[in-house]
Amino acid sequence: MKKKNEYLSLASAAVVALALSLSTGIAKADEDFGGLPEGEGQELTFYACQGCHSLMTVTNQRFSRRVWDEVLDWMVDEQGMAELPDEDREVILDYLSTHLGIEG
Amino acid sequence: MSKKIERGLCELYHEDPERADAVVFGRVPESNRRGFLKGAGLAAMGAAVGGAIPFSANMPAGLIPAALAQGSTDFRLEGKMDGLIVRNDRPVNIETPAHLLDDDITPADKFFVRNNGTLPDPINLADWSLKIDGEVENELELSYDDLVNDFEHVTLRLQLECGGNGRAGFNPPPRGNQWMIGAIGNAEWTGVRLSDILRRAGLKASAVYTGHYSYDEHLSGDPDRPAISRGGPIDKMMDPHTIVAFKMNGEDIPAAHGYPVRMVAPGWPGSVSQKWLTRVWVRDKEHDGPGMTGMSYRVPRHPVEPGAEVPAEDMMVMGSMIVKSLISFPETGVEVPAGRPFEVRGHAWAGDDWVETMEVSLDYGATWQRAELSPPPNKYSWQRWRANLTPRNVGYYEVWARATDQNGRAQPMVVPGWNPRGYLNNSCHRIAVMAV
Repeated sequence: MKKKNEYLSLASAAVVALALSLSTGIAKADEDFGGLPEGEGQELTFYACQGCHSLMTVTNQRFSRRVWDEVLDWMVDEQGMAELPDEDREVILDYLSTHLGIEG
Repeated sequence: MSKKIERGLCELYHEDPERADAVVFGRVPESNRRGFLKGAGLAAMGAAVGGAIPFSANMPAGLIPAALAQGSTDFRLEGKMDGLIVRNDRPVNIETPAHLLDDDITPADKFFVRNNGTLPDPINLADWSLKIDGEVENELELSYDDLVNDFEHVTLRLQLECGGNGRAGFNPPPRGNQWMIGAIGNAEWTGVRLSDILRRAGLKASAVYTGHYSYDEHLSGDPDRPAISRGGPIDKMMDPHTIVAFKMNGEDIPAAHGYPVRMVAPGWPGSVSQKWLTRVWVRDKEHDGPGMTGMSYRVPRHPVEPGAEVPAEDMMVMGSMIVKSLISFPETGVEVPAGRPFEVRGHAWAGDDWVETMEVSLDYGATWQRAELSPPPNKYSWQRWRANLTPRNVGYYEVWARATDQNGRAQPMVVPGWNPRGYLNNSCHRIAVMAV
């Protein structure tokens, strides 16, 4: 469950979105690192993924740490991704489950 | 930016719908979970959707208003008309918003795009051929001219829908493109029946399945790794509506849709309809190419709870898609005059089956009104439906649409059974309408 202040910021953001979506098209923010949210591991995650696919493949998803772990396994086992060094893999999993995660 | 924020709102509703109601709109359900919009909460939600909500007493708790839940159309991508929704740019995956799907025959520039690998440069026709091998008496290698000249042509309107269309509705969110409702199209395809080709090759008694290959490339660049290779059981592939197509709406098939030749196996997950087709391998067992095994294009044999870890052996390959419909007119958010009828219309389809009844509701499903429903021009085409609805008062309404197939199976109002990869969400489409 998210903290109360996060709910409130989302709530006000939702109202802002309504107003904005009625006005002109909005430039996409965060062009850096393919739109990955800022945070520790952002750069490492970007370079681990961008060789094969758009970072939209990542930012469009919200998974638990368990599922992100499975996705990385799948990338290596079935999609031809090079095995990540253990340390990097931990940083990337922490990053993904923190910034593109769900509770549970 | 706006997309990110809209997603925030949807997430909020996913996590705890009633709490989201309380936080965003200040509304709190009463013990019967209806009739809860009061005071500031009602005013806030009314302000957000742009007017009063006449049937607010029927509006279920935790239901994100359709006016707020639709996908963004702020994005643009070259090669397709403005207003389509880019779900991914590498691989290219593009969704069509419902209001751009109003044509009976979906034009190529509005047709959704679903790719697993690269979007290849169009091959030179002289370099293209189609190989038929495996469990056949005589292997075939057909040039483009052979294909076009040696077999009878058929032209059919055929629905093609991504197996994951509607995935965005599932919670927890499954892997894959977060399609809302627009990964569906109904073009007019011209080609030859796959059954005619397979008869020419002569199926052995051992032939049970097909495996399809194409000239697009895996995103990793590995030339030995197909981006995707799916197929279908022989019965489906011998159906006279399963065709090897070389024209889309009377023109050469565009690059994004499989130039020069693609499979069209209507009513089944779109991935059975391999684009850029170069080979049909007839198998003596269920095909096992990428996209056939593991969890992809598979659903649990038995219902599972949301978020369940399902062992691979409990998953089975998806067959036909299921009954579904969309509202293609008007566009969500439209203003209509209060007290006067306005037209609502769209399409309905049901995989291998067909739609027998179409209904619409203006009061959150409390009452339903029959819509006029046309028969399909040919089997496997989607069907046109239309209705006139009259909002009695000014304010915010939602149009809900529900199709029922010939076996009495109706679309559910809420998202049906969760599955690990988010297939077969056929819940009702709904749009927001403001009566003024």
